[in-house]
Amino acid sequence: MMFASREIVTGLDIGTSQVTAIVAEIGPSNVPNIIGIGQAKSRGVRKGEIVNADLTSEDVRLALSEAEQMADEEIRSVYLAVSGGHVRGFINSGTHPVVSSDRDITEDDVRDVVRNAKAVNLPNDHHVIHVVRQHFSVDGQSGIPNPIGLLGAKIGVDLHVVHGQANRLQNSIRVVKNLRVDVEDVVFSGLASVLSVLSSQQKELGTLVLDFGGGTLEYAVCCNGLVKHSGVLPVGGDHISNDLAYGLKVPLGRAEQLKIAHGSALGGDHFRGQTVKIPDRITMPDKTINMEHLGRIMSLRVSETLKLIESELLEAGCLDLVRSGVVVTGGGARIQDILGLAEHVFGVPASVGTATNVNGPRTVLDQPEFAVGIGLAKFGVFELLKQKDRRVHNRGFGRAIREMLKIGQGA
Amino acid sequence: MDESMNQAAEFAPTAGALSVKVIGVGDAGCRAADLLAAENLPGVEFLAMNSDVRGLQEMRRANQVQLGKTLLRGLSAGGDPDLGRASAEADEGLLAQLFSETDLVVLLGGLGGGTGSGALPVVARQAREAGALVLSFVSLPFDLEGQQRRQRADLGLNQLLVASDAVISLPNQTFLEIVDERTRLPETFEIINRAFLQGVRGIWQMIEKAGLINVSFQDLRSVVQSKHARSSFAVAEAEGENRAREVVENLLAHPLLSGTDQLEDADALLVNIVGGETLSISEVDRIMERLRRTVGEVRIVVGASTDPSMGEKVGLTLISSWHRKTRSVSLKIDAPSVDEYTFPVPIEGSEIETSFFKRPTELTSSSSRYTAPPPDSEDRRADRFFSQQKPSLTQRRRIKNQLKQGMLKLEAVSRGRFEKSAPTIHDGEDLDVPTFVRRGVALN
Repeated sequence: MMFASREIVTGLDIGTSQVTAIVAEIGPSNVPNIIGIGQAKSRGVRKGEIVNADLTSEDVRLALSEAEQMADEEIRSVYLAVSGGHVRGFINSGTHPVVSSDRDITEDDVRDVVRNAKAVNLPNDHHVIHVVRQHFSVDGQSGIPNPIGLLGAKIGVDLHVVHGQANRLQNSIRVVKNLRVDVEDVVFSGLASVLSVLSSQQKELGTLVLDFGGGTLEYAVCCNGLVKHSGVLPVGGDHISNDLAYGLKVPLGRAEQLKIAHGSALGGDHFRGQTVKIPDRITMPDKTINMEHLGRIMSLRVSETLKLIESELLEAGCLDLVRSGVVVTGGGARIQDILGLAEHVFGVPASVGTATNVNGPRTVLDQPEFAVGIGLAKFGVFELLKQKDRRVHNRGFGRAIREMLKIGQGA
Repeated sequence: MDESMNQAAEFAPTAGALSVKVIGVGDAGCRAADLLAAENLPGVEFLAMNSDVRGLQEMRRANQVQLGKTLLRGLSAGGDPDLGRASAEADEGLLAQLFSETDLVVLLGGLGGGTGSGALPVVARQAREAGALVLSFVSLPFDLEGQQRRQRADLGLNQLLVASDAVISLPNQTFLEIVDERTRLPETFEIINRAFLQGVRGIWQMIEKAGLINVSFQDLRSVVQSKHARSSFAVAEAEGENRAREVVENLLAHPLLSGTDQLEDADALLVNIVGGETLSISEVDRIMERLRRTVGEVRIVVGASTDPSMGEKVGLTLISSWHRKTRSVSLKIDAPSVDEYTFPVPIEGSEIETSFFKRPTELTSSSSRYTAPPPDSEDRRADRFFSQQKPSLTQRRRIKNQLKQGMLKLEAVSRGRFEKSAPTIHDGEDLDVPTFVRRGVALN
């Protein structure tokens, strides 16, 4: 290819605490290669949703220009992450009788059954973000990855549908478009993190990905190579800071600092009797903070949040699928002892998610905060490869990519 | 009651044939009875008993009975309970006659004075001996009325507890919580009288009005008869969409119940729900569900009826019988053995289910298992002896309740950073409110 048109993709994550832009190109052997990052503090987002479009627009511009500078490329379009309390995931199933006389399942049958399953009942103003196909079942026998060529009378399939309120989704798209940047596609940030941090083995064995962000916590369960369940809990790091500010009677900014410097997900008791002094300009003697209280407030919030996820998964019947581990990403992964707490709550080993199968500066890949952005860039690269693929009519390869992705079959 | 009643039956089983007498004793009682007489309560006879003729003459509606005509010659007992008692005892014959063929006697009175404290127990005893079920509504003096009146009232209350089936005491002091600072004295007393009125009317409605779920006189008997229970009662009303929820909240907030404390300690609750014609069974169910959740394993006798005059309102009357032990048992045995205190036997005639004795309240009496039997003393002292032994349980309850109370502040908690965003409601909880606040975890 010519130098002038290096093909790049950009992932943009407008998060509650920061806006992240990740620029990637297709590297050697089609592995995404990260060539630029841009970061800006996010000021106009609460609980994953834009509340002040002007501020957010400015923040996005900052992040994008920083990434452009680093990558030395012009960003024309982005893949945009969406999240927020309105985003939900659920399983919808469809069945289809095999019509042909010889009971041979054809591509048409597969297409029909997927179409049936896609007939979902959504509130009027909701929009489907993703449809993730699960394994097929043929005559009640489940777990069939590809039924074409098999014999059967009835074929069924489950779809994991992620949907959100159209207007709120449109908000973030509007902000980006007003900056004269195209939005190629929107991706639910929970799935973007999955794409970013999970190895194919983890996807196979059953892993829970928790993206503990500033305002929301996205979760996704992967098993047998598929996303089984995902969703959002609009509780995040902001809530911890807010709790601390309220409980310790300090300003929010101070609470944030205390959280980062001294916070722990495992609470109060091992802080017993400890105090920490913080300078206070108003009352001349330094203010003394009781560490036990800090620990208790924080651990109550974090453990409640994780337990809510646990009960959510239990309700969806996905808790048993989480066998191999929990992977925590997002800024919340930096909370001290959160892995221990997650291990305690979910009963499986927990680890901090780092980006896999992608090239780039280590300092970027290891940051849990960048997981969503990297996931988006990865998604974009795969999409790009798919397009190229279509161009050269190499269908077999395209399917291989799809297998790798397992998501993005939204159309 | 002019219909000829069956002489043999002490209690006529059919509703409507009940003979109910509401009797005010003493100045305060007479005024309350007179006020009640103005109410439209068919089938209820109102009497005012006083030794003071002057006070009696003020009565406009209730029939008047003068006590101690020969003894006091129409003067007041002058704050001497002994004189009050003597005046009532002098007229025992008259009283016995008055109470014959009466099913339910509701006594009203103010304790602390002469006639009230002295004569009330005598009247109650006479009524009970005549076979009536005796419920006493008494007011206890304000704290400001002095120690002496308070002592007299306590003494009278103890005597009354022995003499009547159930005593519902309304400590005047709690009314100070209801009235605001500027309320004048006559108004305050009127509020207190109105409480009497609500109580009596609630009971009357309960047994007299047939409804969705009927509470008969027998139910009332089974809850209160021979328990010599100290009872509390509360009335609440609510209307609107959430009336089922609100009426329970109003009831539980009633100062006479002093929180839910007493309800959990209660042995049995008598609940009556009155609503307009729109009252639905599902609302009754919701009300009861809420009450049950609050009071736990307490036996509840429930009645529900409709009354067109209620309109869109729904009213809730609650009477709890709340006796520390089955007193009649200790009345019968001189030196109670340990076993009998651990498992009090139901006394003859009262319709108590056996499950009644398995409730945690019975733990209070079982605490005596490891202590020596009480000394052979007069009843009141034995009573005090037992009450000293069980504060642990009540205290524990109180602590539990205090924690619950902490939860109530929830609404006022600022949501800080999330003030302007839509609340995150998950299973009815606002997740934006700090977890430690929602859990009621105390930081000190």
